[in-house]
Amino acid sequence: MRRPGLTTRFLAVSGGVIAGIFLLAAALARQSNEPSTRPADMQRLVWIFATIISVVVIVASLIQAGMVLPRLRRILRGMEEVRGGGYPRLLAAGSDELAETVRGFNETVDTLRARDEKLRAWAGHRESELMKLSQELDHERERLDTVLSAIGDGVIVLDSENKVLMANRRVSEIFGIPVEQLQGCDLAVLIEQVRHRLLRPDLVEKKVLELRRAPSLVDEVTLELDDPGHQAIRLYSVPVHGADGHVIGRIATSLDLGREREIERMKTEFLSTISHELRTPLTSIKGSLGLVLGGAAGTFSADARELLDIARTNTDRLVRIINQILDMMLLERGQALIRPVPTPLGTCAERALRAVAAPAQEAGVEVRLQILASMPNVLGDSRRVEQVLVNLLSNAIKFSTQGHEVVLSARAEGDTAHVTVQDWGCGMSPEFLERLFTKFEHAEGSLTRESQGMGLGLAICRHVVQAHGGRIWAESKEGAGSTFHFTLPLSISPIAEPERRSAPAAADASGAPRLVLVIDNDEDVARILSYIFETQGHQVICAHSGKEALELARRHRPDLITLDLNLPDLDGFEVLRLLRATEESRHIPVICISVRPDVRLALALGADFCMEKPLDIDRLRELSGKALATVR
Amino acid sequence: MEREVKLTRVLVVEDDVDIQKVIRMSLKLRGVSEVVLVESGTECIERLSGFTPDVILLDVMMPHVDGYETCWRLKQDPATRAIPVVFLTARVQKADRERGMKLGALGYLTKPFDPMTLHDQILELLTEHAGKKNENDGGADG
Repeated sequence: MRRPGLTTRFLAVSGGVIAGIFLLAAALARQSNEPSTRPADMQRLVWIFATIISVVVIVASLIQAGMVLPRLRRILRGMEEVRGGGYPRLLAAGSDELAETVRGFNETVDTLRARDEKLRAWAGHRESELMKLSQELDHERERLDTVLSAIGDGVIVLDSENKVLMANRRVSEIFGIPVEQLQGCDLAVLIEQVRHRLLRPDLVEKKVLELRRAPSLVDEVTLELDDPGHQAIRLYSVPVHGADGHVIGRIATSLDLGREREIERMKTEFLSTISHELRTPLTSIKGSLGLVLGGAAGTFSADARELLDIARTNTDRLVRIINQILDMMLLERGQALIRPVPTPLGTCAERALRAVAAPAQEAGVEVRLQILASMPNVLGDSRRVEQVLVNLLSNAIKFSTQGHEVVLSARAEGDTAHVTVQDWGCGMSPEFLERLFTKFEHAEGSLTRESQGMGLGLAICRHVVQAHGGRIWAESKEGAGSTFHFTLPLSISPIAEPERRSAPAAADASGAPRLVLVIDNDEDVARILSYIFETQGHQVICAHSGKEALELARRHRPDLITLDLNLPDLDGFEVLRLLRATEESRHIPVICISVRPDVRLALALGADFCMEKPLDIDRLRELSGKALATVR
Repeated sequence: MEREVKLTRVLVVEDDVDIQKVIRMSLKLRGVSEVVLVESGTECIERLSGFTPDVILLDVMMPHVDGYETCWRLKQDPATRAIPVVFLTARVQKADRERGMKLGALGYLTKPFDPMTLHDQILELLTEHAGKKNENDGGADG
């Protein structure tokens, strides 16, 4: 049976009370009509009536409260429980409004529970995903840290404000700051940290300023450290661009030049030792064979002589191979001393012809020379030019057949000498022609030829010609012969006096010829240095002693000085100190060039650059360009 | 008057015993009467007290005192300065040759060498040197 609603029940109670009041009021009215009723009795009855009514109203109120309050309290407790994270279920007996409210509460709690469970499941899933990502991130970071620390060279990543985002152990060593403290450091602060150890802090600071002004600059700077090891570190830096093309930072890597130089020194030492160790036993073999064949040990049969001849020929071949390998290695590393001076090409050609006369005669090949007597001198190292000619002529003879001729010709074309060696032999395939100047390459089927070497001859020719600033190439047709071409620069000005000469052209970016003071006690070296600067369009004055140098520097105030440290009167370091102490020469860039191993000390005394001999012409051009760029 | 170029006494400074033998045989074969062999730069300098060869054939790569330093010492000492020095070495690079010549050597011959022409090469260097000296002396006289 459906239970009545709260309103009905409240109305029933209230109706009961009102009915009681009306009954009492009627009884009171009847009593007041009685004649026997006195006013005092009437007054008492009214008081009794009021008291009864009050009691009935209180009782009715209590009954109504008793019907609602306990159920409301249960609902409130349930809500409290929901707030605390619980999911209570309340008893929903009956069908009144409160029972309906309880049922609504229960449904809401059920919905909440279901939603929470779903949320918890999703959160758990996301949490495990995040955990996995975090682990992967940690792993990647560890891997990156390991890689960065394993790199011997320094790696530093900067943000757009030049603050360190990441740096490795080597950077920490260079700047003397623990890796963890590098994070967030400003580049200027880092430079300040090593400022006292830098030989030229001004150059480094200037470079940092340039990078700030032009963030997209790809640049390099060398840090020369004034420590016992005279560390030199070259920093290469490149900008990092964001998706929108803006520079968002910079990555710099450092190269330890000290280590590089040490490796170079070791390689040279190794080459020298290998060369010596191979030559020593060969000397005994070749010497002994020569003596025996020369009759020092008496006479022997024709067969024995033939065998000894084979031994001698192959010893000579071995010597040639060793020479070629050594030469190739030196040329490849730019260490072969090539000194281009004005050289008569005709003389080199004649000497080359004499060198190949015997094999040419043996092969029945005639070698002709076509060089005009008026041919200007080339700018070349005569021994090297001759080496190229002998190589090309030997090849031409080797691939010609009896009765053929080989022609060596040369002509001047502008400021270049164009030399050709032409033969009408077997020629080469287009495929071989492409890799002709690559080392260890042989023409097809030529390995069987007795005189075949390592395939280094043409590779050496290429290096030699290129070291002179020339070009080498070949044209060939199978069965129709080959023509080898190479060019050399012509000597544009005779070198006679190492005195001040006029410049052929201004090569400096500013357009004005510069004055270079070359200080070297060796006149030949001074002449070569002069020539290098003159071909760049500069004017040159030379000094062969310290005192002469100081006087010329004071009088002429050159734009650049090259200084040899071994001078007859004053020590080169002393000359440098005096140059720096004199007002007129204080700011002139100085490049120290010396065979002395302590040449780098010159940097501490104020030299701008230093170079070890033997002279690396390209490096000198590069350094003088840099030094002159600072002079305006 | 032209000086007479003679090649009868040679001091060979060479640490390889086999090469020493080859040099000695090659020179003896061509009539050099006295070939003195030493193995180091120090021995070379010691041997020169009371002995003046026509030429010193000097190796470069030797233990302790190398050929370059030996040559420098010989040219520093007035007693040995005038003795012609010819390097005979396996150091063949141009820079090595230039270093040797700058130290005052008369010539720079490289290994391996032809034993049948070694004598002629040395004699040629001595003759050339004598010719230059004659020219200089003549110029001074004149």
